[in-house]
Amino acid sequence: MKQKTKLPYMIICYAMLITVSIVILFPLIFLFTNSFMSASDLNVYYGIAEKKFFHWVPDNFTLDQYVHAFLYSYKFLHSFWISILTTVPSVIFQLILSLMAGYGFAKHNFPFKNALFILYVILMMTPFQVIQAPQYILFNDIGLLDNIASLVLTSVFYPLGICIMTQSMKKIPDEIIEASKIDGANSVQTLIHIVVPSAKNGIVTVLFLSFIEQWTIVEQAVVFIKSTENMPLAVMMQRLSGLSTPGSFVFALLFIIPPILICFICDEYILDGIIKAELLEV
Amino acid sequence: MKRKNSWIGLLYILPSFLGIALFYLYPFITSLKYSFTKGVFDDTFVAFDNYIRVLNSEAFQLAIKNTVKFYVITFPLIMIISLFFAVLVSQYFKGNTLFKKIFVLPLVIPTASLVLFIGILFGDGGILGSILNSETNYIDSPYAFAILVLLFLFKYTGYNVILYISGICEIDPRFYEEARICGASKFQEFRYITEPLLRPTSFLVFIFTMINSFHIYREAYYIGGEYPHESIYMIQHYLRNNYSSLSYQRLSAASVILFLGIMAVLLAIYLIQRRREKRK
Repeated sequence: MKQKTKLPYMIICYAMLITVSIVILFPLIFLFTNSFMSASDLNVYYGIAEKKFFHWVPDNFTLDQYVHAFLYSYKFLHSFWISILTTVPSVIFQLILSLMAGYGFAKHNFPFKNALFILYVILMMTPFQVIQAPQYILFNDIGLLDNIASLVLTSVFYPLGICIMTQSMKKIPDEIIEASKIDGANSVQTLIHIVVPSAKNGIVTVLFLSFIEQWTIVEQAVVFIKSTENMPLAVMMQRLSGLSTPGSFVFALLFIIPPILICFICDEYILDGIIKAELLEV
Repeated sequence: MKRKNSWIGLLYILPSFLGIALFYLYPFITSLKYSFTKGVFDDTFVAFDNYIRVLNSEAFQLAIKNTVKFYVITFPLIMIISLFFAVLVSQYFKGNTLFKKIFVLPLVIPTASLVLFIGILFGDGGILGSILNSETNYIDSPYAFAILVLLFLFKYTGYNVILYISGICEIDPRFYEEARICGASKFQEFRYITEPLLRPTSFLVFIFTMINSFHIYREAYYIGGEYPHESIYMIQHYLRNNYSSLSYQRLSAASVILFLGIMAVLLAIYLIQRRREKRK
């Protein structure tokens, strides 16, 4: 498809996009360069200075903050580990559940199937606060309060993964499934060997979205978790970092790394916007 | 093609359904029940008492006002801005993945890491203060609302752009060629081809943004803590703080009101979508 490319338009577009990109990358670069500032620098520029400004080049280029973050910040590291412990099982189990339930919704027919799916969608659209109190009481009764299991459980069963996976699996042609049945595969084998490999787009979407969601969880953590030992990093960051706290910039950087890793892993899939598969026919 | 009943589908759904029933349905129904009783341990049926008390409470009214204000301002903004950038990018840079990668970044970067940055920008003695020559801490002022809106736009516009771009890519280029043959201008191309064909994508963007908008609590938490400035005190704060003071009944009533509100909005959008499709 050939378009008349008018040079002035193109330059303006380019300029706008570059500006936006700079705005987006600005905080990252800021965090990165400031992480090499020494404590005295931080104090001078951000602590006692009356007028604060973005500083880029540290006076003394040191690794002090890194040392502090990795060796002396017990709370931060512990919290980081808690976040990992909360996120990884959540994502894995949510994936498994959505693969199974998605297969059930997309490729089978049974009475009330649509009603059930709509129920899932409704539950997905309710904000956490609507069921916050009863969930709290429930976990209290089970004895899982102040335990990261409560965070894992609420997110594992959150219907978003299932809805995405269902839409993604609906796109798999029925003929493939029938072919495998003709070849003698039973339902489970069809699922494992045929459907799952074809649903890669959906899998990556669920992986990506649920990881980000869990890694930055705040609402549930603030309600269900009491002691700082069990608090995920997303909440602890608020309490641990400050402009004059040593190592803060490194904390911020470290906190960003896992989501960015996941982003790189899921790169091509996200960029094709495959989440489009979701919810087009609610 | 009619598929015969395969009950085994139910089996596959069972694990997730059990979990949902226990952790979502059961609490939801209990919430409903609480909203009509006097208290958690007191089962006297008080009908709509709790609802009336909630609706009359100043805190609730403030929260609702702020929340509605937030939605009304940000939703159109974010959809228009993302649509704009999507059209921009897809005009000349369709194959370029670098921009797309950059646009995904804000979604991926946790806001917690941005707090330092925001503090310098908007805190007292910060950059904004220097430009406007005042000492105020903008985070703790009525401007906090604007900051929140900016944060929201920063975080979620990028991915919406990507969604729109993939929607635009699906439009058959022949439409545009025919339009150009007929002498249509760029505006007309947009208005009569791009926009209508993007309606399903717009719906998707709307849903996605809606789900994400519930998480605005996180941003508000980072810049305001649990009791933020009153301009950003939203319904989630009301619900959470009421919980802290253990008034479950009011909390439940407020939650149900919130839920009904959301469902009403969704229903409206869904019906509008359906009616538009019928017109085609």
